[in-house]
Amino acid sequence: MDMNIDKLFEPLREHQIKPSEKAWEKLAKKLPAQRKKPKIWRWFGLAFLLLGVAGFMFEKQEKNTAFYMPTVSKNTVFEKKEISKKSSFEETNFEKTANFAQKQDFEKNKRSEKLLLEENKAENKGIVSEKNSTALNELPRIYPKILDVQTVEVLPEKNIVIEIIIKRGGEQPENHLDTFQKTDTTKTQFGRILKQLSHLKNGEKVNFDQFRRYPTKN
Amino acid sequence: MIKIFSYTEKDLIADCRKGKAKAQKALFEQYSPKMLAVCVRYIKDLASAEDVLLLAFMKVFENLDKFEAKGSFEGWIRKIVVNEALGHLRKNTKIQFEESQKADIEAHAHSPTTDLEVQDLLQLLHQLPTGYRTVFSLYAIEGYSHQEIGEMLNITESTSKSQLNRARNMLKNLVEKQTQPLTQWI
Repeated sequence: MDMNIDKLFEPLREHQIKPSEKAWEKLAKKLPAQRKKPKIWRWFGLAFLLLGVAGFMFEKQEKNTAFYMPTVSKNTVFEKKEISKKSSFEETNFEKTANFAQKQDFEKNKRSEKLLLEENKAENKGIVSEKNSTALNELPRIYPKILDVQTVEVLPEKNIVIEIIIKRGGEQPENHLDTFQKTDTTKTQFGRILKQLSHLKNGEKVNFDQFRRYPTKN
Repeated sequence: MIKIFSYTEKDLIADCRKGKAKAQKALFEQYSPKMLAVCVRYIKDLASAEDVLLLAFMKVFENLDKFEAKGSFEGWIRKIVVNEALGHLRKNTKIQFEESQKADIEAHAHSPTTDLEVQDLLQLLHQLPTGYRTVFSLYAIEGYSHQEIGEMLNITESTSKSQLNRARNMLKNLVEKQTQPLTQWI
């Protein structure tokens, strides 16, 4: 009997009543908005953009610092005293022929060289420092016609000492000793020259094209 | 080109969890008719029943992360809807669970054999007092045990049983009354 009453009302379990048309609209208003996940590709794009800008800035900065002073450490030591003496003698010749501006530069260099020499002597180490390095942008002015370049010394402290033989109009070739850092490999003409010089072994000769000044190995 | 989206239950739940409005609408459209019928069994007024339905669905969407695919999804929703309906009854109606010996006596011995429509059945159910109707719906239609009903309505098991018996007796009488004029014509 009881079962029958229960069974009689069983169809109610599957009974359906369609809600009003506005029911969903009412509910949708109350529901929280969709949680938007940050799109990863946007972040990737932003990262690439930043990298691009950073790269561009770096490139620009590198161009701006194309010319800079190659530094020579005070403690650069040469075992070959003869070469230093020779260079010192040849520089005196150069002083005579250079114009006023060049002369001033040269004097500056000479003064600093003297200072270094005095310092070394004072330390009583019996070592001779080489001529202070010339600015790379001074090179074309000081060495207008480079005839030959010879590596004299390759130092472990990233320095390279080169002997440059130059020839000015109607004069005898002059020898100059200069020191550059191997790392002075900028994109400039002289930077490229230095880059190639940095691969040279001690005593290896290099000829410069007189006009373009690109070194070519002998 | 019209795109027709057909969701599997798993996809539907996953998209609803992500808060996708389309999926939420699809879920509502799929289950709301059945659930409104559940509400109507407990709450006579259709508008109030619909309000309860919406509140229940709010809870469904809010607690979707808690649903574990152990039981049926429909069963899980139904449970929320029933609880919401009972909560509404508690707030808005004073459910009286009368302790009457008279009502416990079994009614007529013969079983009613009728072909009542679902709408008629619902009408008969609505004629019961709220307490009777609630216990009868929970036990006979939803399938809860007396212990569960006792916990849900904060009543004892025996009260639940007596309420069920009274509801059954009353329904029998109502069914008989409803079917009598027809049998007289046969």
